[in-house]
Amino acid sequence: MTQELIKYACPYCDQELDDRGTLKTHIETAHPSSPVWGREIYPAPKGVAFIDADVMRCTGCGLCAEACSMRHYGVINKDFARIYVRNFLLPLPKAVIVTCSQCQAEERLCEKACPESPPAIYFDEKTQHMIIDNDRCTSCMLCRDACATEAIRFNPDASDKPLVCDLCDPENKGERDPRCVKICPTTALYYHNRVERIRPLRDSSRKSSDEKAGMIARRLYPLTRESIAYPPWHP
Amino acid sequence: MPGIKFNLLEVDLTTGTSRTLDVTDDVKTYLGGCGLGNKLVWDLVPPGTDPLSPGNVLHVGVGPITGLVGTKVSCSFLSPLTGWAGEASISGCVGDEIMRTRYNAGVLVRGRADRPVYLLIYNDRVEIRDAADLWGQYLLKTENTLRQRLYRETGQEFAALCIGPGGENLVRFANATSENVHSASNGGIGAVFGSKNLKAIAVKGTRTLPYADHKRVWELKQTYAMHPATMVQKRSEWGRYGANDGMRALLNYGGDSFKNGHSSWDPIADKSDGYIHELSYRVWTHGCPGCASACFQPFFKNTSHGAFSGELRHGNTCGLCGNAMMGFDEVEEINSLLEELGVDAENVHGLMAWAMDLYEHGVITRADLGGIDLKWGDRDATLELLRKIVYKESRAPAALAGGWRYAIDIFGPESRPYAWYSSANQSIARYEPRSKGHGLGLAHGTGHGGGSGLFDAATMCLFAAFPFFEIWGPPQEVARTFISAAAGWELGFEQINDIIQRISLFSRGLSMREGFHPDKHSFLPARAFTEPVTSKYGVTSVWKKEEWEAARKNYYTQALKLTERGLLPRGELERLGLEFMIPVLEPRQVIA
Repeated sequence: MTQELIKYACPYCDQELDDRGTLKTHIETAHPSSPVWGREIYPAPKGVAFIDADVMRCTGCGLCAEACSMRHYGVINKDFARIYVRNFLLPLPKAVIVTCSQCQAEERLCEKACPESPPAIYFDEKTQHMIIDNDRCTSCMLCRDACATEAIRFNPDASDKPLVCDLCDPENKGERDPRCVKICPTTALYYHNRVERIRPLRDSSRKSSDEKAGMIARRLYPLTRESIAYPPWHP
Repeated sequence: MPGIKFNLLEVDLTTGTSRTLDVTDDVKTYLGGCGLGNKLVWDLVPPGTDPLSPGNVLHVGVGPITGLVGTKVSCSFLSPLTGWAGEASISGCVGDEIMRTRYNAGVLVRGRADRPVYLLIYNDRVEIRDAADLWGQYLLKTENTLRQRLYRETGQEFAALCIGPGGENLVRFANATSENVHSASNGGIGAVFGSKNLKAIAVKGTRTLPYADHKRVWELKQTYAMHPATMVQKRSEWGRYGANDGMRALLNYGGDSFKNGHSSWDPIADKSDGYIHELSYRVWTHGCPGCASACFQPFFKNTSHGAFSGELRHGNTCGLCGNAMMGFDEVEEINSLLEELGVDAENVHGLMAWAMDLYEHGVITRADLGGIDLKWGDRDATLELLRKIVYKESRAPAALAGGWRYAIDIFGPESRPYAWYSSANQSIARYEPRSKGHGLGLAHGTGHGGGSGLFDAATMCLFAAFPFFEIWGPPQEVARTFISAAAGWELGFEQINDIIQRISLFSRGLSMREGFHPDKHSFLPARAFTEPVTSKYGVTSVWKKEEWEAARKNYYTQALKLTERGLLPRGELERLGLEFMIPVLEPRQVIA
């Protein structure tokens, strides 16, 4: 697989710069009131990429979901979003992010489950993200049931078709620009290029949020969700 | 000013009915949260009502900008702890879910159910459901059971505000909690829930948030989320130490009370601060919806005698750490249980420290304590005392469960010199009144417990708000900017100041209606003026009575805009549209 030329895209405007240093200078001069300190500047990938969620950094603010709903519908409603956070009690409160992995062909359970031929939910090789063809989709929701990460949602208030992460390119013009990644205040969301050794990590993070919560809960052994392991007297 | 509408959900537990009321005019006048809440209490609860009777109301309040500057819910009610206006605030998902149901003025609970119930609110669906299987359960079990049951039923994650045995047993400082680490603690709100046989309120909203201009709200949120001031707070302050940030400075410079207020320093203070918590106990960081700072640092501690989890904040630790002479090691175990039982940590810690002092000096005996050998800093004795207080077993713990004033009556006048509590019937644990920052002591000596600030009316979270001050200016500016985008009202700086003043006077007026009078009730324990305390660095201080009286006079007139005696100025009441209070308050001799 050839390494495609990677440009450093400015997170605040449409410009692309040649290297990290030039990008930093550009931000400081063209966007003087926008922050650089404390946020990692990394290049916007040109190749196939996905949103990688660092669940342990997530604090559950939900700004990612609000950014998504603003981008797609112009209103703030977390249930209109294609990325979302689930709050668990383990018994300590912990937020777990649910995102679409933009799976490689072998793992695309949603595409395989779609009864339409060709599938109405598919990975567009030209624009390089998942998309649903709303003209052919019948809202049977088999894709949602098949998805291992529960990333596909259905909300009739937003749309009569299922919702899947299109990396903020809903008109499928090839202009990926995930807003959730930009706004996450803890930098828990990363937008990675698949060719950079990320593929194994994505495969291991392709789990349901329940399973992820269970894994986190192991840190709190022997606590159960329902109480602390003390005192000797119970109601 | 046009703008959006504000809907209040009113639920009557006696009749089992509910209805929606348009309270837009009241919200424009008083804002939401405790502003609207106090107005509802004034209108709907007759003077002299017993706070534990069905006549009391409980307003679970949100405001025009809940969720935008942190997520805060401010609850208003007549307080079982003081008998005056009561307010308790809580952060977390509850506020977010209430806003998304479109009941953007909150939920008002009236009456009393004839059996244990919980309230279910799912968008339009309002149900009063049986809670017999939940009554008596500790908090984690209650919340987990409810949330799992409702998830199986609806596929939705509900937010739940629950009480534990403390509230069920009508302990006067019982609290209501959510998500294990958030709690509404002041004024005995848990006892109000318990007196209504209300075990929990479960809320879920899926509606688009009720904003006038989503695009503008979003721009404000983006600016906030990505601003360097926010990053600083996240990375080096709240985001690391949570509300233990600043604890070290307070401890070292005599800012907290130790050994039931007999000193302002003890080497035990070296055992506990935000840094120690971060390295030894914190598991991850958690935050509220919309807040980029995320200030919750839950801890986990596994020992051979048990495993504990919860969250420690300055407010809920200092009473045990300082006043009862323990460090985080012991406090974690006690607080874990306390969070399960559902009582206000700050108040109960101070009461238990007082009990240790009384026991040492023979004012209460081992028999009074039901056999507990209550030595200073003894974890097991403290745990046992805590349990007895919550279940009102034995003479002394049952007295403590009634709060300071009640317990002093039971224990007798010999107990009063040892009592270390404020005018709002709350323990003095945080903010030692005798140390250099005397300003902190003024609140202890003049407060009445009612909700009276811009933050609890807008609603805004003070902890979240610091970057907002840097970006937009003082709290009034922040409120104005966000209210304009969210509610569509253009309020001037002076209008906001008038609203602040109106809420403050109204709250105090409500307490005065119920019997609060500055001549009688504004006080600090005598020790604040007679017992000097010494900080870590050898600075000894005590508050001379004349200095306190002068500072208080200044505070009344400059900060609270009252008269020198702390009474309500008639001209101000008339100017702010509160003249309807005058005929009610005049017989109480609180108007000047």
